Amino acid sequence: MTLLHIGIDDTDSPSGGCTTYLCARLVESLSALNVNFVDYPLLIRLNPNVPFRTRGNAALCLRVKIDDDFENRVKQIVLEEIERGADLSFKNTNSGVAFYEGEAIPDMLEKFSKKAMQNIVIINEALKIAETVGAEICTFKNARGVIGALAAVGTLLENDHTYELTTYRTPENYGKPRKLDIDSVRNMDSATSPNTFCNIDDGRILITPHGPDPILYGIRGDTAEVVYAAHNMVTSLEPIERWVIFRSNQGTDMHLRFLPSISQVRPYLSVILNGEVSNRSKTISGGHVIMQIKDHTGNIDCAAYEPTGAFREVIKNLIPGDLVRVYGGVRPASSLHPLTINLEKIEILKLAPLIVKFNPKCTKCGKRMTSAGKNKGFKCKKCGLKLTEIEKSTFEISRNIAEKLYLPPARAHRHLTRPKERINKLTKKSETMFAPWHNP
Amino acid sequence: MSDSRICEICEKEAIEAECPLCKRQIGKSCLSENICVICNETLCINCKNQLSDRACNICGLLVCEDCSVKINEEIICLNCSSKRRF
Repeated sequence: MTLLHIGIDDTDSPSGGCTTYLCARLVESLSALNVNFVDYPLLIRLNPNVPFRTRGNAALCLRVKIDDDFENRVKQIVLEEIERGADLSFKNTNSGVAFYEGEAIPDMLEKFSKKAMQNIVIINEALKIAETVGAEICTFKNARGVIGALAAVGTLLENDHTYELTTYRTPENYGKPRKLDIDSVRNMDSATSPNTFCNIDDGRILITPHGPDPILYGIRGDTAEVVYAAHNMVTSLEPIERWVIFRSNQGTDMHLRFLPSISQVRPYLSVILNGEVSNRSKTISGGHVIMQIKDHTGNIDCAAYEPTGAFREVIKNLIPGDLVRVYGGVRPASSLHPLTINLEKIEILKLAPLIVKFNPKCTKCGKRMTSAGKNKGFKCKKCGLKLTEIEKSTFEISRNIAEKLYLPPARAHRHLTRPKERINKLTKKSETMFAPWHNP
Repeated sequence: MSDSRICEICEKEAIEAECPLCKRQIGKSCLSENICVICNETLCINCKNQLSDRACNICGLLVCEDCSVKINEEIICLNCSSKRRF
């Protein structure tokens, strides 16, 4: 028997398709061969800031135990499915497949996966890694897909993970509005949250995507059992062609990496950075709010975009001197703006005192005094008293933000962003698999 | 970035240069056409001056913010937007 790890990436395009759908079809084809799946299919989100991505920068991995005689047949099925399902006519679709045989994943491949989630990886580096670890790769066009394919194989998700049950539409409904019973989604959310998350935000349904892809809805949660139960509570008003439960790094913050200083920030990284607010935020055209933080190595802009809604109010309430920890993706500089961190969340570590100064009150009549001129003290307009040896009164105003973590609403989250329901929560890998985890 | 003396990309070579676009400290083999190999792969196809922001939703080419427009939440490069009616 051979343990075969199959990584797949970059098969879709903006006009349709989805690598998870291709994977779901493969699950059906391979199940028919009675292969033994040793894990759920993995849905791995890679660095969300890379410019090459189509939508959510997802790569997939299947781990199957097969008779040695079956190996070539399985590989053939995978490649046929990609040739049939990938939108290779689109310039930016560069599908890649990686096959790796072995019980253990090499450390080098694991390290590569982490890099592909947090940083940017070039094609040559992926090709070299594949050669070094002995992974067999099949590439289409410029071979960029091999990066995600290898990264998916190298991701083990042993210390934290989530699940997503994804349902798929029948082809005649592609591109049409998705039809779900909204009340059933609300009831599902009430019954299963916080063990499921990102279902609804302020009345808006989040489980359905909006593009032309084949996904009807996806429910995310902490266990396979809960996403299956939640799926059974949702009433679909259109036929479901198939569904699969994926194990995933969504909602885990795995893309974020702590950097010790601003000088180490580079374009496209996903970073965690400590800094001091260096000036009041400003609101620019479109309702986006820009603030700046600094440390001993420099300063950098941080942006809270309009879709983050009330999160922007937190940013607007920051004042110079506040100590913060920012989390986000680094947007490259352009002629319109400098290098900028697109905020995914912010933790206020220490609030600076907000001091306001007022002119003193008249010691004779109690009326607020006015300035008598530079270095000339104050005068009272009511009783005419003049005082030179008096200073402005200072008051500390209570801040309307607190020293805690602030997240944007769920609708503005990245796939990888740890939602409020999962703060301080880790899900270890289970030894057993829930059944059923796919249909058909 | 644990060792500041080695290339930020390959993490093997000694630092020889700084990429003018991303400021990465890089070794000789990670330099390509006077910029680092990462910037070389992510450079805007249109102006070749700035790093790209996204791929054009129509032609798929990587373009920077200056060389693209956002139409109905889609990033479209200037070339495609001039050819297409919205």
